[in-house]
Amino acid sequence: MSPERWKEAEGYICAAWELPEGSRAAFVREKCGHDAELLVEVLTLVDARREADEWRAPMEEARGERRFGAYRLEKMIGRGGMGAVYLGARADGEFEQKVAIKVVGLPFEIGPLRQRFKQERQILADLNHPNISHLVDGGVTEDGELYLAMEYIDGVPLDEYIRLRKWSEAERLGLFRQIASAVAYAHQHLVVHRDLKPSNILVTADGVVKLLDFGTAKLLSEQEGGQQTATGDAFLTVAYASPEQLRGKAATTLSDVFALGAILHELLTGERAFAEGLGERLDAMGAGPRTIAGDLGLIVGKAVEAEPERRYGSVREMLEDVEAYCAGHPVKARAATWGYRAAKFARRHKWAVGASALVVLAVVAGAAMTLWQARKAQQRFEELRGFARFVVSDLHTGLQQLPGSTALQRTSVERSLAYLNRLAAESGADDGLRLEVADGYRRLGDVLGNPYAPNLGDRKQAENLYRKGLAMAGGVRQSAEARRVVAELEIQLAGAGGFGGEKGNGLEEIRKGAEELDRLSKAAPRDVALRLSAARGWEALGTRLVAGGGNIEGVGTKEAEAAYRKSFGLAEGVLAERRDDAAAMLQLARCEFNLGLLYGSEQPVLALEHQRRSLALLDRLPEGSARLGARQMRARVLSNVGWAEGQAGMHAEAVGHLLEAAQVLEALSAGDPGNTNLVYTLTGAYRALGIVEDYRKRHAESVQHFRAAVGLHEKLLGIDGANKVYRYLRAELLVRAGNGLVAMGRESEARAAAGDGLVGLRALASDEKASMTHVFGACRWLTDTEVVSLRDGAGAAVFCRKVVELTGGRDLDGFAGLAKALWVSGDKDGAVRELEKAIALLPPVRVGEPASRQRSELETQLKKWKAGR
Amino acid sequence: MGEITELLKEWRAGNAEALERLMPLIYPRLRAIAGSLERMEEASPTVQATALVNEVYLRLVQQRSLSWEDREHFYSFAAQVMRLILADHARARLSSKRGGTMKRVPLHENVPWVSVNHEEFLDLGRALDELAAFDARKVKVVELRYFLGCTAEETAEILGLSKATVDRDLELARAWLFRRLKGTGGSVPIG
Repeated sequence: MSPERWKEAEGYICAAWELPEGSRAAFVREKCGHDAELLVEVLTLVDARREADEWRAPMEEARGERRFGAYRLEKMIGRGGMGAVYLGARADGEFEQKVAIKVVGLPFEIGPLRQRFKQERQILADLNHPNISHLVDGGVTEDGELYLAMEYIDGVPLDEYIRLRKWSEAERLGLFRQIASAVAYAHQHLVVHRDLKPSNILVTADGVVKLLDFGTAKLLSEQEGGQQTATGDAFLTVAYASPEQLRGKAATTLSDVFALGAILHELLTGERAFAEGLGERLDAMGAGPRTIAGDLGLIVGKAVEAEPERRYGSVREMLEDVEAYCAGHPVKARAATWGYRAAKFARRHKWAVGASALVVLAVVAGAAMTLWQARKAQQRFEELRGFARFVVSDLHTGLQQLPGSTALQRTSVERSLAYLNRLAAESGADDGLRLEVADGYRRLGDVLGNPYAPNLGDRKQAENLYRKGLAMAGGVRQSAEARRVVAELEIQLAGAGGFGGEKGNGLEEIRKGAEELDRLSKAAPRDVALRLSAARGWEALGTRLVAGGGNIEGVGTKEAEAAYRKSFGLAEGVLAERRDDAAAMLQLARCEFNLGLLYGSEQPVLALEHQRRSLALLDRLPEGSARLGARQMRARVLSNVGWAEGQAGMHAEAVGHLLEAAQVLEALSAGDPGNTNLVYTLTGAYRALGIVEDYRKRHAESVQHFRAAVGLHEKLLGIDGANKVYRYLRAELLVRAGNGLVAMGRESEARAAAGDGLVGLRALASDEKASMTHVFGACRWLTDTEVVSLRDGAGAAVFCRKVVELTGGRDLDGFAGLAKALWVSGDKDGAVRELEKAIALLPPVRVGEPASRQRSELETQLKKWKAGR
Repeated sequence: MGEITELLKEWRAGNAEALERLMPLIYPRLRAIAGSLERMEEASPTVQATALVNEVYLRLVQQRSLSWEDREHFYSFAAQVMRLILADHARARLSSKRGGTMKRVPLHENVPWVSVNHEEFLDLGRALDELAAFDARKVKVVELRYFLGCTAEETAEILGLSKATVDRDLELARAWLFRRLKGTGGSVPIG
């Protein structure tokens, strides 16, 4: 259909829709005349709207076939909590029974969770009260969906009900007594409702009250819309929430008393007792409604006191007062005025035997009751906490092992933390829970942006979460567990902040954290997890000391080596006791790997030995999840084996290993595109490939690999533009690529690449707080670029002197760089002098080992220079 | 109104944070629509609302190179991303379908005859492409209304149309799509 004809058709269709159905066809026929094609087009579309409106899903596709226990679903009747609520009926037709089925949209099909769910179901099943919608059935379907089947209530919400007609005070109080007795009953059965409100209370045609969602609110409801606060993840309804709930404290049985007071007020006046807006509520905290006269006003007032201890001691007590009012007895709400009590008493009875004794007894019983209820509520809380612990730690650990699941981890940990946040808001001063929440923050931080593990590259967010964790753990009473959690968080925060940041950032914090974990593990030698945590702490310190993966910051090398050795020792100790402990094996492999990195280019043979041992350990990991999670690690090791081989002159082996590493990493990265750590590792493999191919003069391959690495760094910079590691490596790789291009005779491309790179290197090295790696980078490449016109001996000399100064003359790279810079700028004697200093600092050649590439290069250079002077 | 356009400008100029500030502006919308689709998935973590929204986010991030001129462009793009993702999920679900009984999950309450976990959802994609060939604006309206969950007013504002035009476009597009996907057709007496 051409746009023009379509326009014409549109006009007729819309005009026809304006007409009564019967006259449309005639209208269209008249307009279209003999244009049959247009006529069909217009008529079918005119009809299509009605057909589209009338369309009904074919029955066999409806949800009807899905079974939930003995029930099948009939239709959706609402959404709430974490999933939808459906009307269901017995599928076997044995007897007519309607149920409301709440399908819980938890995404986890995991055994222990079902266990928890069953326990929860058990709690609900125990609630058997005529005014509580009771649990009929519940469980897990074949498809793994969790569901609760509740008694189906055919009624209207309380607020609508009271507007249906004018009810007498006795009728209104009758409704309230049903509600309160249900809540009191629940309190006896360890359940605090916490979200009592008229919309959660249905009234049937017979005037019977039914409370809904009892108990589920706490564990299962996530969000229901309406005037609920989303802040702090504590979902509550502002207009009925007690001040303590609004302040984020734990809801108790007394919070339910408060809500009942608000409901009673609304029942009596038809007006809400409190504002719906959180701001207004917080502003007017403590101010109760004062619109009801007489005893009922006093009852409401006492129930909604801002201070929980000034309210009724229990729902039962409040109920008794309402009942007392109905019977014309004195209400306790007025207890303060003895004159009133006496007057009322005198009006009712002419005799006064033991009245005061009865009052005392009631108060004592009430207090005992409250204590008992608090204990029950605490038990329930423990259960919830166990659930949260499971979701956050077990589930997360499991997920971490899956390849390609970074995004999934994020989702699951976010959800779990939402639970924890809510629990934390309830927990008040519960130290254990606060620590678990803090630990949860650390885990989520790791998933989001711990640069030393698979992560989503959101470093800022990760740091935020670590800080939140520290704040959460901050107020907790000192204990070994608290110290562990804090130390781990400190290490992660410092590590994330330091990665790609300023030199020395976070070093002290990591050192302190590692020492703390070490102390703790020594105090609890049987705690394997703690020992491995300490091992990770030492490793983090070592890694931070040699930040960036190079060994140029020579000052830290010795300490780094010591740190890795400590980590190694701890992991080895664990492995000696538990031969197949995958975590310990992995830690050991990481240590070997890091030691290999540390010896790097200076002692290639030693480095290779460590890398190969690391590889062997990784291959020894038990089949299954741990091994899967170690694939990336293995690729990293392979890539460093390749690197070390390249340094030792085994070029063909090196390229083989590096290509294998790159291939694995590409595959992993394709399966987990959100994982920036993978991309970063991949750049390392390409960089090494470029360098080794350059060694054996395969310039085309070399340039290709360098460019691949540059491209990946640019991708990373797109996510984290301020990252200095990425910026430095991109620049350095461009200069290297430039050198290869010169060798291939592609001068103008070479100049463009090297020029771009050198600008970047100068900028990084000129920074006041530049790291040694970056200063040395500029020092080196300003003389080592093969694009002769871009060489700058004088500029390089400035940077190199800075390196020598910073290393206190203990590092050979500074002298070697300075020598070259002097040579380029024409100071040949000076160049020879500095180069000799550099060679003197080389590690001695060991018998039976080839001289390192660095040694042979420097010695050849010296010979050449001496001859050419 | 101007905020999104401003942020897009900043983002194109290289300010990575602009996207972070941009996302919250459309996040609630994505969440709402993703949430309404959530019930289609039975205990499958891949299509949880949050995951869906994250996926949109990631795709947006990956599309850095695209330069969105303005707010309309951005919204249209987000709607198309949503469409692509839903199509991917539909395809994935269809290939893993067990036993054949699957509850219907309407794309939108106005189009109960398009279920996102049904073959017809893929047909819808093809139909929209056909419609776009001679009336691209209607497809935009459909995308914003059904895939991004915009109201008629919002759609009108984004596309710079009157609400009446948006309503009319949607009605016509809906009729056209129904005829194309479900209609019997050909039964009209030609006189």
